[in-house]
Amino acid sequence: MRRYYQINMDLRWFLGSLILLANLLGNVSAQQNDVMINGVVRSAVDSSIVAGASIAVDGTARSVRSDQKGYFSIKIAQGKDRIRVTHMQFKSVEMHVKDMANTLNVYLIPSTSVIDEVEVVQTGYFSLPKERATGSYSYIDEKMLNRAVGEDILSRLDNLVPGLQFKNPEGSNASDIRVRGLSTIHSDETPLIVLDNFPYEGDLKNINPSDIESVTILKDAAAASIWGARAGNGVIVIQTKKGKFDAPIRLNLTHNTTWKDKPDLMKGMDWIPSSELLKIEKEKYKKSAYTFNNTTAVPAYVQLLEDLQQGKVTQQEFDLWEDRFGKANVRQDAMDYLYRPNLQQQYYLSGSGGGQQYRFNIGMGVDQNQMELVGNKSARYNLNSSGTFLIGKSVEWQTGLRYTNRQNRSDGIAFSSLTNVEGYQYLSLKDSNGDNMPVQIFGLPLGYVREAESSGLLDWYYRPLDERNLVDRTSRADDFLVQQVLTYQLKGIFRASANYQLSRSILGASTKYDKDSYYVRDLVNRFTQSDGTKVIPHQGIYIESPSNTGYVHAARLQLDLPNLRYRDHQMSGLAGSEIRISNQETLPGFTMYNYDSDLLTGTGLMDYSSLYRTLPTGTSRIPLLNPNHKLIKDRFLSYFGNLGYQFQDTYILTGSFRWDGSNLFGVKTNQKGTALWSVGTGWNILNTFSLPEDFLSQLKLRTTYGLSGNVNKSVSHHPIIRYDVSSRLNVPIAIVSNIGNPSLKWESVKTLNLGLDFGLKAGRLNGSVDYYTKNGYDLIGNTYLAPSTGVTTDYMINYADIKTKGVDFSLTSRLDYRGVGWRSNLLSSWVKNKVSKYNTPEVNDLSYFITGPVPPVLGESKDMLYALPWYGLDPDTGFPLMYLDGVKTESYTSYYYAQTRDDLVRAGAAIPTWYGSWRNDLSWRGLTLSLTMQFKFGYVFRKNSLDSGNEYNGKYHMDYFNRWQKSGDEKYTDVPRAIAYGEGKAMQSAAYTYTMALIRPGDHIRLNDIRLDYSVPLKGNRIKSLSVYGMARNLGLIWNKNKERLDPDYHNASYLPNKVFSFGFQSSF
Amino acid sequence: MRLNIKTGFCISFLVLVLGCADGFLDVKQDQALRIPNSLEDVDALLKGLVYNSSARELAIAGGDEYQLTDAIYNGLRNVYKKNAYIWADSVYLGERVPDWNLPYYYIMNANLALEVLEKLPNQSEKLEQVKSSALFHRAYNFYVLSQSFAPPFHQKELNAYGLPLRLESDVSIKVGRSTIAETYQRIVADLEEASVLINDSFVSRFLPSKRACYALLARVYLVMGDFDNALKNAELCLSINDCLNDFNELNLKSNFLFTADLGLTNKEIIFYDNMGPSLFGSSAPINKDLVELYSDNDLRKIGYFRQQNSNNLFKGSYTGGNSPFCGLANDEIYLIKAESLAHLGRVSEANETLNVLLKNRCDKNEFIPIAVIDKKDMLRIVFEERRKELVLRGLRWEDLRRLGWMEEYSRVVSKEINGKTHTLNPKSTKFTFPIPEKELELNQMVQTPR
Repeated sequence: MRRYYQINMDLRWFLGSLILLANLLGNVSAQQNDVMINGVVRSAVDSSIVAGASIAVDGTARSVRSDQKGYFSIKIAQGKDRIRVTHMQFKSVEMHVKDMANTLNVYLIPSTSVIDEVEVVQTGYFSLPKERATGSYSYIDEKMLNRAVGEDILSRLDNLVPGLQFKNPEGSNASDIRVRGLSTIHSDETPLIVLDNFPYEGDLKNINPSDIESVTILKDAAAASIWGARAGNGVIVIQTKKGKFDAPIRLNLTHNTTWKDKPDLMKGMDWIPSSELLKIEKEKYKKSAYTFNNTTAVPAYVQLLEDLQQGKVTQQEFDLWEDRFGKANVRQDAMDYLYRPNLQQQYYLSGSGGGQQYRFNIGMGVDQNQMELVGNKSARYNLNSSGTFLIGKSVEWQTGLRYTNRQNRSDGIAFSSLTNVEGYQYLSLKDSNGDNMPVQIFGLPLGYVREAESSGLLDWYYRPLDERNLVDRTSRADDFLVQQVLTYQLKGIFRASANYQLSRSILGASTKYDKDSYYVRDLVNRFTQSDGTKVIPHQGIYIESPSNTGYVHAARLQLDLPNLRYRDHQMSGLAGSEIRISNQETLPGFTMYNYDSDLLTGTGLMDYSSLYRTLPTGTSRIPLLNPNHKLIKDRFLSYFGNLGYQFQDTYILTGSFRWDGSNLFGVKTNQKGTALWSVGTGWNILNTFSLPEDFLSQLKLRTTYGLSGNVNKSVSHHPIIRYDVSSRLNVPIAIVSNIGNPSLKWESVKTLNLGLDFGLKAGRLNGSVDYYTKNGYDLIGNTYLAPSTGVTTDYMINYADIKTKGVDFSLTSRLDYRGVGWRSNLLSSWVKNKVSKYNTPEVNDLSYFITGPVPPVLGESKDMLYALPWYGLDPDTGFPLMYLDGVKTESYTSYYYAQTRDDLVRAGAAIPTWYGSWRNDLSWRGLTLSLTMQFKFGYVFRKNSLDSGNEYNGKYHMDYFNRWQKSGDEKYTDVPRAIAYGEGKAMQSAAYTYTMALIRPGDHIRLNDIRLDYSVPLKGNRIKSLSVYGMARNLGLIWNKNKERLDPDYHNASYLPNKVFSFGFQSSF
Repeated sequence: MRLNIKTGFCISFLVLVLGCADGFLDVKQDQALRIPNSLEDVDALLKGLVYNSSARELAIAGGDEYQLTDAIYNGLRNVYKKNAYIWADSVYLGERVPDWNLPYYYIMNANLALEVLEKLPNQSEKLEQVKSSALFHRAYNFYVLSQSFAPPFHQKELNAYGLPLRLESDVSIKVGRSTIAETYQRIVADLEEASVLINDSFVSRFLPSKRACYALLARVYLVMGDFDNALKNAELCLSINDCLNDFNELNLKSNFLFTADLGLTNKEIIFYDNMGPSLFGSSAPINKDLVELYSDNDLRKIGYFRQQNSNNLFKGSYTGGNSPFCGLANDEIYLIKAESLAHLGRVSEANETLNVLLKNRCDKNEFIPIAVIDKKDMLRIVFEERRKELVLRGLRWEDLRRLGWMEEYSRVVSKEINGKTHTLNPKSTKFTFPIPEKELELNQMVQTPR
């Protein structure tokens, strides 16, 4: 307690004195004199005069325009020497006025030119030109963001940033990506998303990519110490469009349509044709492995066999059905009736402009998605507006409002839901008359289903295709965001700003079941009592799921020292504090029985406490959505500071610190806060040594080192109990949710980054190399506890130290020859980790290593995949050969238990250690052809295969056809022979499944996308620009190391992602 | 004006920096979470211990009540169930062992409860209730563990192979094996203390009570062969409530003998504990030898069993469904009382006690009271009645264990599966299941010889 207050006291004192200092300095500097400077604005391409360009002094309201001859003059003050020159046909430029006496030459780059714009690092707290940064940043502008098509912002970052890896190839959430490898195991490893200067906690699908101006990715310790405890995994800073000062009003209209074919379910490996399946079921039936009574369900074919045995069907009927079952393929039916091509459409209209005193941007977006599942669709509506106003000479007010509404309908029947049907593999969705096929489902014995209606129950068949129209599942999300920023230019060099953001989100979902839906009929039947009374009314049922509502208030006060210059010395800095209040509430849902969808009436008056006997067996209460009210309050308080120093524009020194406090529960009070820091240096080598400019145009060395941490909300020092209500006693009860670990410490991550930026041949070749080490200390992870402790679930300790090393490399080349431009962009990353210390008990049981999660092993990668050795198949039996100390053994259990972890083969890393992408753009006149390839090397994966004996439990694999069948087959296959029902032995499956026989290299090169753009030449038209494009994605593998041509990214998927085709246009008026 | 804006900035800055620190970070993150530190918390914690998947799988599998068909046996997914059924040498092959894990989970909760109670300043009647409840839970679970994982009490070597007696919730402490004597001492001590502290009122069959303490004590003393104390506690238990279900009033032909109301209308239940229905599935047949033991006037013959494809399925569980009941109930206490009386030579009283129970089990028009004079005859009848009454209660295994040391009553158990006969001899080391491998790996101790 005491220590924590002390920290606060110190910080209060520190910030208090900072404010005092700011006021003093403000008064001193106000006495300095303004200087008038003169300049001329020209085009960088042909040095022609540019008239009408706006010149504004940064941080003041002063602004003038260049005249017809390109001349201007403006007053600037010492220390406020940063001017911004903008013109609608040129890219805006910011520069320092170094020489006050001479005429300033400003060169503007036309916005259509291919020459690179000055990259700006946007940290969310400040922005600075890249040449003044020491950290490792990647910047993506609007143009690059719009190269990809897709409804979410994150997936558009794929293949654009070195060191950014998608864990899930189709991912769209922050948790799907990883920046620079592993820095934690069990703590939150999600990168921090910052939207318009504040952490964004909402759904990323609520952000329309068309609203985005730029994205900056902060990768090293400098990022962490700016953004604090949550930034150890990298920060993604998203800036929305704000409009431009002194720009005419412009309208932009964009549209794109994306088409993706329906999934090819036949491509999956986890099934076998029905005719083979029937043989398996027949064998199992012959071994009397099925029980026939009125409580146990058996597959349809097995019932047929039993009916034949009992004489309930004739041999003729049996043959007819057997033939029909053998020919049926539910996957084909599902593709025919359940799926359709996916169609996405995006429309976006925006207007922006500005005068001398204001700028604005308003955008509206509509996205429609007709999903591949018939019956599923979604829509998103966005409204985004932003305005900036200069009030008087020293106040800038920026205001923003964003609203998003998303709606989802998911009535579709997914193929996976058919697996609930007994014998679904040979199910037909339509019968021979084309009517929707009735089937039995969910473990209900067929006898029951058949006789339901005659015994006074409702029809108990399930008709998958009917359900689509009888169940109505919807969900909706509303998201509001309001932002206000007030900046005040203090007299002198300081600037103070107050930033406030409120976001509010509401999420709800409901399901309405028609009275004829299977859900209602099944429930009514199950609750029909022996005297025939129906406990559940045969009417609709309406279930409103628990809804989530939340708000986040965030406020920040910040004092900036934009730039203080004295001779060769230059200094900038900032300090401030930030507070965030987040309340997320789950409100209970409800169930309405006897629901009438016309009158919207229904009842909640049911007897939920009585236990009813249910059919076909058992007892149950009437289902009621468990009332659940939850309120999560998060509180964050931070103090931060940042300082940059530059000498002769050549040597750079940066430093930042931050203190983060939160209301984490169950931690000792003095651990509620954590202090983080970083330092960095930079050296623009070209300024020291003059090298021939036509050879080297840029050379810069930079380093950062710093300390960051990770947040883990699931651990606790103290025992924690969670309150609930007992269903048996109806009194409050408590459950131990965490037994607590009194010796737990926070994780810390020390990151070193060494970077080199270079430019060759006047910018024809640009690139950067970053080498980094990320050393995680006291990483939190699951340990293994003896079950007698009473804890058999996860128990977290500071279980290991892990060292991660990596290199990020990027190279851009540019070649122009006779109007043909070729741009090439290569990104590549190497990353490796090694366990340098661990605190878990020494475990030798193989199951830890082969099924995972793998325990940390000193000196090994955390991602290591272990496997048993493989000796091939026994030519006599077709079962795996096993050797113990060189002696052949037949006993699976003694073989398995004699192995220790040292006998296991280290098969390789499970995550790519070398990956990247290569993009090539070829342009000629208005045409641009662009192509992206992606590669992943240096990793392995474990493929699925036949698990002999498990096909009797409903697990199938196409490797069934590659199985060993006769002596000699072992030369061609590693798949063991099939096992007769009941003959499987313990650990037999491990002797194949977990061996090297199923480890495959993952190395591959993929053709990611091809895009063709055409800018329509327009002259004197009302339309200012128009470009159309077409794009194809998911084009498949170009090279694959594994011989079976298994796509390593989807080797276990039920189907491969289809090719995607998009076309669209971008226009402005 | 300008001054105002500036001052305003500075003031709000200062307010933000200075003002919000106190208490701001102490707001509780999740309202439903708490660090247990009050009597109410401990009370709620103990009431949250629900026994709905009892740890008697090994005991019931190892007993002779089920007679599995080859098809059911071969279709079992869990290796430990198969191995326990045929008393194989190694049982679990690395699988999770719920019979070991679950009781220790309850013990961890009881220990945590006792630790919090120790720190509370004021002694009160409520505190004593809560404390006795924690002691009962701990003793109940150590008892359950001892019947599967510690060798029978009757064997000579009492100073080895007891349970690890974990008495603290701190998971970092390693606790090795105690002796058998220590294990039983701990169970008895906890129960004796609880039975004194706990008040007389019976609140719910789901909560520990004075009746439950006496009932469990009677059972423990019986297993230890201390018949004076077993008798004393059985009598104390029945003196509070000696109700029995009269089978003459039950609908014997219904699908399940008792109402599926978690024992609400079952007068005999002292402490409710049921096993999951999934040990061998709901169509696992009962041993034919057992079914043949019932005489024709015995209502349990129809009440307890249902015929299906010439197999007998058990339908008499006190849970009113497929899940076996493994808790404490009055019928067992009558049997403990009768057995203790017989051992102590009070045969006529034993007759009397047994007849009270049987009167409620047999057709009231055809009931012939038992009247034997010989102690050994009496005991033989009691043991058979225990077998007939306490079907799938997890107690058959305990009886087989202890009867090994009463040579006149012991028998060899055999089972046939896939054409092979497996036998279990009296006093066999197979009556003690090995400590699970996961425990041995992480908490090194001596494995029980098998």
